[in-house]
Amino acid sequence: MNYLWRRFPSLLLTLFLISLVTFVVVQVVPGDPAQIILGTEAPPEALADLRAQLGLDRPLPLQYLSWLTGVLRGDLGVSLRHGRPVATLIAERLPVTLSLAILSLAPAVLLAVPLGILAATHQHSALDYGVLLLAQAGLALPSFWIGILLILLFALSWRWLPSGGYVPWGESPLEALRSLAMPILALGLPVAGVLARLVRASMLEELSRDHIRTARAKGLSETQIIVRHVLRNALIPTVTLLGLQLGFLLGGSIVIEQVFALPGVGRLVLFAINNRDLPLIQGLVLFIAALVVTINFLVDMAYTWLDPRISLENKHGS
Amino acid sequence: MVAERRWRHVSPLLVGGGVIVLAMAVVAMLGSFATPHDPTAMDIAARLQPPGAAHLFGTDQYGRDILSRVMGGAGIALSVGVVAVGIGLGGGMIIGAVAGFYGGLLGEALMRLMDALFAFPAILLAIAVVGALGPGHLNAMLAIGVVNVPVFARLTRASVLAVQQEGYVEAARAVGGTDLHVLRRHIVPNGLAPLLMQASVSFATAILAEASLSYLGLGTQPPMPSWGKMLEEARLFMDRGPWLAIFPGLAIALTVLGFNFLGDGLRDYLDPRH
Repeated sequence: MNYLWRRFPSLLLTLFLISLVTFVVVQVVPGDPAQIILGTEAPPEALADLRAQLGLDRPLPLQYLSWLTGVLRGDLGVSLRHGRPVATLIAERLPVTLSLAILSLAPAVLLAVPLGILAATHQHSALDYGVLLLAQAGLALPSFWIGILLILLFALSWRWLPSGGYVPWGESPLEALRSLAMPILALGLPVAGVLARLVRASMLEELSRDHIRTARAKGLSETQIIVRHVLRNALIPTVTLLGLQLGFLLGGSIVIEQVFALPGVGRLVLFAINNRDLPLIQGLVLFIAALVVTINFLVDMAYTWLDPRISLENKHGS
Repeated sequence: MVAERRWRHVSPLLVGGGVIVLAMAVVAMLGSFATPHDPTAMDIAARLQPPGAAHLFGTDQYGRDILSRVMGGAGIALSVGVVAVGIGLGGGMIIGAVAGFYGGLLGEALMRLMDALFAFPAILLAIAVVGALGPGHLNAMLAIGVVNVPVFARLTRASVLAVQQEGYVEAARAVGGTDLHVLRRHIVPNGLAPLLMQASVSFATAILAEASLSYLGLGTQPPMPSWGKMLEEARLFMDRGPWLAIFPGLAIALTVLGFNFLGDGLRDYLDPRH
């Protein structure tokens, strides 16, 4: 726990810096929010009034502070184009993006863990090289291209799945899964590549340890050794990587949501950018980055739980 | 002996990656002046032609030759890689060297800022920066470069901290070596290996990022033949011309594969532990 408490201020500092970077980047965006709301024909007095009303005539540090205090209360501002709170817009679209990002881990794990184990237990065989090559290919294929190829096959040629759109889980879980199947695969396959390589490498490292030699000397079968002694330790880095990949998946979903016309947070980011909706851009960028940082922090917690050596080290250290 | 040992580390990955990257560089050079057709010339009569003798990769919805456009796109992809990695490497090395060399409050503040930048999903940060600067080829390169700065800053700082403890650096200081001398003669050459490996990997991710940005309409703008933009345009016509969606994607995958191979091969070559 000590370790976690020591990490906590660093999490807060990172979150604060993220808010600062987000604010600064959005300030550079050309376009006057008052003009975006009232249009280019609006009289200068009306524009000035609205700017004062929105607090845009105040110095930047004050604008930042007032935005930050709002954020801490859960108020991310109001979208210029939608005229609704940014937080509400995000909340409406979050289920789509989270379903996509979390479910993408499934094909990644289901493919990568067995393939990584197989490759490690057959090191330097054709199977091993085949897995490594597949993993490299997975890393090199842009997820949106995988998406396009899947549409070409499963939607246009075989007509098994819809080429785009989203059915909410509450309406029909089966149709929801059908609408997400291709996006999940497109997003998950590159992660499977990263994961398979890591599972293989961690397995090889564990297999070379002394206690494995002892286990072999005791006459345990290879399966027993792998299940009882190797897997647990080898999967610890995998859990960490999975957590870290959630950030990649949330970023990747911006592109994949566009490919499959999914009404998620990613499409909202593009809408905000294309329409110069500054409060929306600001709120979305902050929300996604904060989510990723928090997930990474939680993964760290899971890591100490899975690998007691870390907390022990720190107990002795502190 | 050393040379022989080194030679043994030249893995098929390094050779394969090197060959692919070199081939792409040649294609990119040819793509700027020696394509079979003009990459931007439209020929409505020849629209959506399947791959054949006249057009090896077929034609698109405007009758443009896809092979020529893929060749033209190679130059765009590689230029993004060079500029983005250059910005990341240059910016990251300066920030990392200052943070590692002088440390203190400035070093801490710089690295915290790098941590914060690192925390953003790369594509989100790139989209936000392009959103701020406006869509376009140059701005996409700049955005991807900014995204690359933190990783190089971290690597440089780590190298500086590691090398600074070495006896020969202390000796260089003891005989009156200036900061700049120590940086240039000892720290930079010793920290170059991890930076070189990262540069190759970052090159691959930069190409992927540019393709994504262009696919979203935020990167290279038409009529310049960007691979990502070609895939976006293919989306509407691929039921009638699947080849539109195949070749630009293959070009991205092959180039990224080449740089990833090169990065892994360099790691094996430069780091004897692997």
